Amino acid sequence: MARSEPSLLEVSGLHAGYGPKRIVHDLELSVAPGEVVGLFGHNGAGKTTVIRTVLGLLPAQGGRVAFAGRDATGRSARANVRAGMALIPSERFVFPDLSIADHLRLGAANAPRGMDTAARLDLVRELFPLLAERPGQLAGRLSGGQQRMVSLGMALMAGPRLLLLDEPSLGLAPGVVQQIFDAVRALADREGPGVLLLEQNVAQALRICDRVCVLRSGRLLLAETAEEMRARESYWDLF
Amino acid sequence: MQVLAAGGDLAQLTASGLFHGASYGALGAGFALILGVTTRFHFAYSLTYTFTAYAAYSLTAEAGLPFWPAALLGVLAGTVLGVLLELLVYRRVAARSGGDGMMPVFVASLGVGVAGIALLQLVWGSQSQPYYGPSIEPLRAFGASFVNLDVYQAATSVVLVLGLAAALRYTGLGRAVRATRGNPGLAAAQGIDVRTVYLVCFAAGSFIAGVCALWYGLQYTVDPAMGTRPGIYAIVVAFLAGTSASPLRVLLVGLGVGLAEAWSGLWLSLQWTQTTVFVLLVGYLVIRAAGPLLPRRLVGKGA
Amino acid sequence: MSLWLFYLVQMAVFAGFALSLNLLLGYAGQLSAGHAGFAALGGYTVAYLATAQEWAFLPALAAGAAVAGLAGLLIGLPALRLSGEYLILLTIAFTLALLGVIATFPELGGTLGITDLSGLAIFGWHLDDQADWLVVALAVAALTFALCRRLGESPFGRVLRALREDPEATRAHGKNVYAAKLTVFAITSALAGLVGGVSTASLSLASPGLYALDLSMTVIAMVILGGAGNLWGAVLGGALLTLIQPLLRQVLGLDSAQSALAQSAVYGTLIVAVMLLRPQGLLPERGARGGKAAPTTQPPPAGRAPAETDPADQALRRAAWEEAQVVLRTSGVGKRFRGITAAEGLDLELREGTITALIGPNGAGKTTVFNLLTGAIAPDAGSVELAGRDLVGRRPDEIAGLGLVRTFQDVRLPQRLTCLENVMLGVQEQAGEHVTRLFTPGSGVARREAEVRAKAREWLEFVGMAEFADVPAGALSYGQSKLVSLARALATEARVLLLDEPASGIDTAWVERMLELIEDVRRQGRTVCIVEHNLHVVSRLADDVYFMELGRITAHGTVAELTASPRLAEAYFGTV
Repeated sequence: MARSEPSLLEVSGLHAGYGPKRIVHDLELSVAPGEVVGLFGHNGAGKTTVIRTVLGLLPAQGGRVAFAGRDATGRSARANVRAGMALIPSERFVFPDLSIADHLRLGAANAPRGMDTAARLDLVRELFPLLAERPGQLAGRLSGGQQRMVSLGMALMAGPRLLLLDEPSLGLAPGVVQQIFDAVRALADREGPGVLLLEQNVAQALRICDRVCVLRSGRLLLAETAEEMRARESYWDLF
Repeated sequence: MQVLAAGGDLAQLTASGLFHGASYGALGAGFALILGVTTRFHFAYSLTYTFTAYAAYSLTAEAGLPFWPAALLGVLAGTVLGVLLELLVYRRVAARSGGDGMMPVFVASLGVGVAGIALLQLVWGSQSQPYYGPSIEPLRAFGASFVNLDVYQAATSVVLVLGLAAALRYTGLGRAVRATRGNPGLAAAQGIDVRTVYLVCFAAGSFIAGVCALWYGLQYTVDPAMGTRPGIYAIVVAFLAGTSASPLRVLLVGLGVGLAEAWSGLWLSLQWTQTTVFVLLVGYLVIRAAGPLLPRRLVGKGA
Repeated sequence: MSLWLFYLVQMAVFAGFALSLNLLLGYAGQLSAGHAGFAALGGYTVAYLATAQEWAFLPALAAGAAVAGLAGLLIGLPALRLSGEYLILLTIAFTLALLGVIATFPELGGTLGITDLSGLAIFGWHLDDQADWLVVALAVAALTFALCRRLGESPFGRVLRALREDPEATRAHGKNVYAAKLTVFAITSALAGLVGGVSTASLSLASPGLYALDLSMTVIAMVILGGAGNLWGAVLGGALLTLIQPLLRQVLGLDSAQSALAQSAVYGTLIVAVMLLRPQGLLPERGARGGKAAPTTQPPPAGRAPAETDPADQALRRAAWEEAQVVLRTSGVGKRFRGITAAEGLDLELREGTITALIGPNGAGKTTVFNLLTGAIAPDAGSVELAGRDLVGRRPDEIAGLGLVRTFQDVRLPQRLTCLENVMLGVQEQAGEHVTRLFTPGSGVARREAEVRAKAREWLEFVGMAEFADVPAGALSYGQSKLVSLARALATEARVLLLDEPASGIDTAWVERMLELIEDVRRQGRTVCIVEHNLHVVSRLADDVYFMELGRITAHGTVAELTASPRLAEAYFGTV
């Protein structure tokens, strides 16, 4: 698990928040290609603020975000998405009046030039067979678990180099959670995108993580390997 | 108070309701597209309408261009005006006010509308101008008499709505528009350029308004007040249909409003028929307002 | 000379229109495009009664105001239940429909209008020339100013300025937002009718053209230009814009038709320019001008040494909890949204003088519980009893008045009110919030207001924010605004406080201060329930904890008991 490769995402000294409200203080964080990093912490600890700032949906209040060796601080979300970032929010992660096929097309529109869209589609459908079954179905009519798969499928169609996943297990049955997490791990192993996984379902997330960071009230409380964290008896004191 | 005799007039009123309703529907679809996607309460929609008619009129009558090129250029001018309003006024006002800025944008839009109509009159005068295009021929069918322009106008409205619906459904830009309307936050996270999407909506809505205005000018005259009623009807139809409704639904509601208005002529004198839309609106608001009092109330955020 | 007199009358008339609209738009934040319609109702009522019915001028004028006010009430009933754009829409439609209909009555002169209005008098004083009308118009403008000032700068006006920015938070602190909006809209409409009546009488004419929708737009332009929320601004805006037409005619030599058009062009352009460059208008609202707070990075000093979490202390508190009386009890509370269960079978007990915490994984429905208890969402099933009184089916403002008050996760202080005004908003039973009492001598409005102010100051002092009393809430840091929102909730004197994530989103130093305050509140014997995700906060504060999963309560006990349960750990952190 040692990080031999150079980082894909490098966050240093990051301060972030909304307007006068500062939520994240002085954060250090990195993700290497092919690595799944868990970002844990109680609700309101600032996890979502971190990834929204990384993607450029929120301006950083201080510090630096570098992506693929380039400074990405203050870059627009559109530029970051084109450069290979993909973010899936924890709620409202589909477009209700768009079909499954529409979602995949929207995702493919962000793919780098020259990517084989057909092959990409096959890969996504292999990971989530549901997406091949009813391409015309409106996403708003799908169950929560199916919507999750649609949103992941949309993100993957762009061939992202960094996936920012916000609580993909929220509101899902355990079996579905397992299926989605397995797909994420398989993808990271096969294609090598880095993954920053925000989760409250620590037990499931730890199965696929390489390293973990824990936030409390906007500050980094802990950074260790997933193995070290799995060895803990209880997580209560981290939350 | 003269009341139209019932019976034989039904066919006539129905025809007139459908013709008017088609244009209400198209205008409503254009307005709903703008309001539903951008949240801008574009009250100056009627200005782009009126401006298009004047532009086309003056290109024909004053600059001497043939009808069709002048009409096309006029519609383009109206489209550009709509886009410029978003670019130069609404976007800035909304950014300044923070939040969605519904009220400030509406107020600014009101100002644009008032100033724009006054400027049109200072340039072209306040009197109505005759606007000529395709020759007018009387037609008769199903016991109703009308003119060929009525049919063209209604057909154009339907084609515009169908075209808008198809563009939303089948093109990449249309997907981006629907995505932004349904979930603006996710659209931004997906790298959709929301600002461009807004401009596209203003362009499409203004285009539709402009085309409708040309038919109105041909059927009646081009005059400074021509946009007032169509503008109000567009807004009412859009609200009645729901501002994120599909264009087809808005068209149906427009036809319904047109029919209700025309049929009310069976019982009411002509001036009173224009209260129909007010009555419909009040009825709708009463139902909406009573909604929360009904048991199936759907409010609140999840956890 | 008489022409300038005429314009002076017009200035007074438009100042009256602008003042009345400013009360609605500036203070309550509701936009009406119906001023033309209400003015038409007033004007036509005066003209009809004074000519065909031979009423005296003053009774006719009163009737005109009453008719317009009644119309406003009827329009407001449905429209004000909904968001702001519906009021705009309905007032526009009303004005157009009214003008169309008026012209159909031969009694009202059809499209020509009523033109034979003359010979009006007030108690034998014959109103013959413009000089007489100037006196009347000025008197009515002054009356309108006095009324608007009394209403706007009163506790009632404070409620209006609060609901302008945040109706939900205003309601949650015991104010009947809908009633306040309806009242102010009806008053505004009546004033428009009053001024419309004077305008009509001074012109000896009531015609549909006089009240075209443009009149509404003109008045809106005046309010926006002068400054929404500032009554002198309305006077200034009304006077300035009225003067544009004579200036255009005299200085530029335009004819009357052209000058009217140029005037509209100027109005419209001014509105756009003001919205782009100076949205607050020429004379900004009072509070909005207030200086910036020096946003301190450190919380205000604590009253006394911070209390450590001591196990022995916790055991003592738990023993006290066992003894304490139940203040709030829910049984079987449930709610479904479109077939999805948001809450089911909730049995909760909050005990007097203790702190209860709701914890559970994301999406468990904790905030929904607050919404159900405070009436923001009506439960489908079950009962909520506060000190033996059933709360189900009551409005949020009633529930707040009965002693159950919540705070919001995202604070929600009206930004343009000062800290002190925000806290004053929390105080219940204010005489000055009732319009009738504002105009009843001896109803103790001023005395009560002084009490409210003193009380609010005490609570600001309690949270350590007294020195920020006159600072607008918008200038505060996030931590500061959380303290002020706590003071506002405390000022309600509610027995039970529901605090939604009181310590989230603020820096560590502020968290400590907040926790001390909440402990002080418990010491005062009040009952507190918190939703909180930071378990350190929960274990420091809570005497009793409910664990929620998927809208149900699945465990109940102390923090130590709950965190010792392997099953709850699985619910919280998942299973492998």
